[in-house]
Amino acid sequence: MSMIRRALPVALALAAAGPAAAFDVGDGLLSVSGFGRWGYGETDGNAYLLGRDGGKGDNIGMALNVFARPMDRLAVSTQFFYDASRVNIDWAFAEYRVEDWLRFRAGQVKMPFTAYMETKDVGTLRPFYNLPASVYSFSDLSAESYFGVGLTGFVPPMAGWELSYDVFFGQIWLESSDRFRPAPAALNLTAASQAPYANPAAGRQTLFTRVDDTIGARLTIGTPVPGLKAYLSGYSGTVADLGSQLQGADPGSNLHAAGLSLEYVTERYELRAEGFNKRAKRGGSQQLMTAGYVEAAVRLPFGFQLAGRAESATYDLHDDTVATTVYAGTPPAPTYVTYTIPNSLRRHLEYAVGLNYWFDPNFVVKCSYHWIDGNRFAVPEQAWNNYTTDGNAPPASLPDVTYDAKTQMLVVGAQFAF
Amino acid sequence: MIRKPLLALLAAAALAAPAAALAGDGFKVIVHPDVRSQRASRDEVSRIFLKKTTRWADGVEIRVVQPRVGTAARRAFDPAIHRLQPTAIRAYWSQMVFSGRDVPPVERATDEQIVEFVKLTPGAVGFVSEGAAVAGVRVLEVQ
Repeated sequence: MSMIRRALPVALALAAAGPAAAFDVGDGLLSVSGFGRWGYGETDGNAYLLGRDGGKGDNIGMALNVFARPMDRLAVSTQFFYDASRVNIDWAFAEYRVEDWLRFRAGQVKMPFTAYMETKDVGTLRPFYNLPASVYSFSDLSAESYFGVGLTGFVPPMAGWELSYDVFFGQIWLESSDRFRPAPAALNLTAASQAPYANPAAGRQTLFTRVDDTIGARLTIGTPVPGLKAYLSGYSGTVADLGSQLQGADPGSNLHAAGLSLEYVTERYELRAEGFNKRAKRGGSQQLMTAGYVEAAVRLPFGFQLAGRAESATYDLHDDTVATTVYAGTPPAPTYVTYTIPNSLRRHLEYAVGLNYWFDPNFVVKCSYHWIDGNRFAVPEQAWNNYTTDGNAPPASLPDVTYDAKTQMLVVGAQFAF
Repeated sequence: MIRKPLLALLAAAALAAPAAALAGDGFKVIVHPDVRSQRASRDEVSRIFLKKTTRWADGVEIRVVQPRVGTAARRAFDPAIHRLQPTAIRAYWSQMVFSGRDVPPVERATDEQIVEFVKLTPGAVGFVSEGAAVAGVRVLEVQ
């Protein structure tokens, strides 16, 4: 935890800088906004989100958002995101307003899914540094944006109820930390280099699944109770055939995801709950994912905020065996093995408590403690493979790389927006 | 058994809301002289300032201007019209901005600047403190 003592002054120095205002030209014709974050995470073993055994403090990200309105009815916007190693375009799209209830969008558009997905990286809009991993982080549940066309709009209110909607059609890329692959593929090994079963060269191994012909929709319901909103969202598509590239579901198979989100936000309280379920065909069987969380936060005097969260994700694989060829011995010889995917790889249970200090609505310093059970997202940093045992013995030909299913993590970070 | 308490809660919340933001609330809504609308409901005004409604009934584009955060008029307007505190309004606009949907209304520092903007901009609507001089613009009745 010594890193925390060194990192805290950085956060306080950032706080002293204070928030800036969005840059606006021509009375809204061109606006530049942004947000950023810095965080330190330390765990007692496994790597999880920004946390590492021994601590990791170089977690930083920054986004610039440009919005232009060249004509009354036309808006063009894009967002650039920098996260320590690369600059990405998060999204870039144009929206043409036919009517307030009918707006046409095209490009790479923020995916209207769940309560947070459109503002996934904006830390000043939530009580914890990270969004719940069960739904948002490498969970294979949703993409940040879709490539295609969509419609959105506000429906005129009735008796205090407000509706807005989004529908879209296009292509999405799902990102997940895959735990269910056969070992050599998961370890990125070839027949010529099978000796180490860990993969020190790679960082977090993520897997991308391209979903074509995706049709999705979200209905946002504003109730007569100020601050109480509900979201119904879902999508359906077909997994693309990318040849030999590994994906999270079988090419050509159908993939469906849907869920409900509820939020109640007042000046003092924040309550949120989301629940989702996703079905995909994989290896001749259905893979069912169920994920959800509940979080609550309360504002305290002098800018403090107390927050708590409980979340869970489970993966029902039906056929939970993996058959693969592994290589062992000198020289390496192929051995065909079948093993059961350990239960710990199929679950994620997490409880978190946090204490935040809001210098301003646009600048917050957050501290949180997380207790995690399961290796769906939390595994040793240098051993991203399938062989956690959680009671199951690994194949005899493989080294014993039993994972600890329990993880504790401490996070300290600062997040801002302008 | 569950439905009745829920409906009662919703009904109570609707009834407990401010009946209207009328004169005496610490602000007044002003429009360009050519805007045909004489009056608007609180909900309609709220939707205009949240940019959910972007055109007047006759099709003219609405140009919204408002005082900066922290002014007396703004402190009075947000809870009375939107029924939301400034933090919630800020969160709403953060969500709009960072999802690429829209940006907040144009802001001006003083009542005089807001009146000037509304006077010179067809389709404009804004609000100023209750005692502000509003020569050259028209006050919109909020019901």
